[in-house]
Amino acid sequence: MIVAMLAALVIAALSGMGVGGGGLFVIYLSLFTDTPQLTAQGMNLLFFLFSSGASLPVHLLRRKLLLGVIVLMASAGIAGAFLGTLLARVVAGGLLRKIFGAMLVVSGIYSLKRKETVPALAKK
Amino acid sequence: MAQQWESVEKSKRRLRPALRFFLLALAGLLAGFANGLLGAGGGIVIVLALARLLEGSELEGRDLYANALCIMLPISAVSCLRYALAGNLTTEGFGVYALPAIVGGLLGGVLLSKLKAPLLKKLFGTLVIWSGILLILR
Repeated sequence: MIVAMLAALVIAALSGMGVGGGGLFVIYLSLFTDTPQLTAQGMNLLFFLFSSGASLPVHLLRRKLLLGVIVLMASAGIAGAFLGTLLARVVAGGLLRKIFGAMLVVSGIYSLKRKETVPALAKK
Repeated sequence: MAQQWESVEKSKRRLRPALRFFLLALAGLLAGFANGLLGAGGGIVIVLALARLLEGSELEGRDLYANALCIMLPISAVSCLRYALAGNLTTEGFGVYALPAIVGGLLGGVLLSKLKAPLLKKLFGTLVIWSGILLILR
């Protein structure tokens, strides 16, 4: 239980830092526990709500936020979420795990290749 | 704190406002789709899109992540609710993770302001690719 709590702490810190961390909790659940893929994804979402909800006040105070962009992209994203969750119910768990794995490989390669967090915006 | 569209329009990339609006919305839709299908992965789509579409605006890297986070929170809340309604979410056993998630999230938010971590990013990228391959092969 201590190990599980420590793992969760590190994963939450990583995702709050923006190092990545999006799928880390799914990886943890599917490699170290016998949680089915779809349930692991659901729990990852809940986990993200807790960890990011906690880091939100820090960001609100310190960072420059573009309210218009946030509202626009979040609204479009909610529509996308309906489509995505609909498809997730149809796709078999094994295939879903492979798609998830492919997404990890692609985003991992991307995070290794890019030099700075964001090329054009990192300076300042 | 919150900035409006004027600062978006200052972006050096010369896109017509309508086109930028459309592309941002499209990226949001895609991020939401990935988030709903895979329970993760929307954030990276948002960060990529913001970096490309708002290139040259006064946002720096960390601002980008903060904006991505604010965008992904409501989307994840909807996805999470949909998973719960479909019976794909067990809160049983989640109690162990809830407190570390909150403490870790806070810690990460504070560290993001302090840390430049190229090595951490390299380690993390490798770890993610390795886990991805494990999941594909399983």
